[in-house]
Amino acid sequence: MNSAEASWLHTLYITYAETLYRIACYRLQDANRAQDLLHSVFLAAAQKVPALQAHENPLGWLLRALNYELSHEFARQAKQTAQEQPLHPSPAGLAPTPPPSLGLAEVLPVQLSPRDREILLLFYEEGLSYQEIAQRLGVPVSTCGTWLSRARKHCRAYLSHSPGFPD
Amino acid sequence: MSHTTSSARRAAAQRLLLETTLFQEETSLPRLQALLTTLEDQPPPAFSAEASWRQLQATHPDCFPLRRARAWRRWALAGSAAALAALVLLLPAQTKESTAPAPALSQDAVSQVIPTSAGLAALYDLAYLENLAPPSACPDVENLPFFLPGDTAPGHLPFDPEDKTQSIFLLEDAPLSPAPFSQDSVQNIPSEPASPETP
Repeated sequence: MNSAEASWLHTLYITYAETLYRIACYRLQDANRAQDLLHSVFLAAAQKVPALQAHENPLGWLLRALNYELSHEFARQAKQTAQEQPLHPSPAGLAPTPPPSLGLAEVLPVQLSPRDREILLLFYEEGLSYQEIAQRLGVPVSTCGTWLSRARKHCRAYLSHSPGFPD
Repeated sequence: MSHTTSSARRAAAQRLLLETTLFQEETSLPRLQALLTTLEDQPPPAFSAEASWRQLQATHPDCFPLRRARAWRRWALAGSAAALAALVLLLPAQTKESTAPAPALSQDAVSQVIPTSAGLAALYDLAYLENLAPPSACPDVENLPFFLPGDTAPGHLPFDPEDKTQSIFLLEDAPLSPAPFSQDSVQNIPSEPASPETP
């Protein structure tokens, strides 16, 4: 990375870091982890500065990278919780602690088909790649892309009719 | 009222989640900030983008070449400052007033000023103040070479150009080369020195 690229990345950081940090804080409820994830996002950006400079929507790129980091963090937390559960079983009768923020499964429109819902969750919540999703669902990679695009379109159509999403 | 607030918060949470996952390409910074303001019960811990950026660079210097260069410069500067400190400690004092050696710089004083260029400058100042007379604002005319009080002021010729007795200094009057030989001068040279015996 040359000095011009470093300067550009610095400007990008100053512009978007606080918002990304607040999103991560809200999703994780942990300021230190939020800061770590923010750094991971910008380290990934530092590796791809030329591509990011040519990108038409750097904020979208950063949000996607943050979402990827968040999905891995949630997976890590879930794994850790599963490992710790036999050692510290929760008292019987107590409900599990609710997640601090909503999960994607809770906010997807109920009208979505099971296939649309599944592929959206695999891609956006679990952070799987097209290849991994195609392998899991037993379909070609190109089909996976088509299904994902269609699922997003359906999701937008259903949300546009809901009262909370005027546009 | 609280139900309205709760439903608004839930809608904001829903929208934030969707805009940061499914519809990242269509969202904008002000919209995200507005949603976060609605959602946050209390502002998150204070965040300084500049401080965070510096921390990122410090934690991952391999990713930031400028930072690497700065680190290299810092080491070079520290080396120079250490060498200078050693020089200061080893050289005898050169004060005008006293021939006694100046007090050595303390380790604390040296280590405090090493890390930055400003510190290096401060170290120079410290060394100067401890070993030499304080610098004067203007040069001491009396100690300047070639000019003494009452001498001709600088910028004036040391002779009067109109005075022909001193005109040897002027190029046009001074002979640049010996005069050329003439036939007469050659003929007038006596062939043998005159003998004292012969008239």
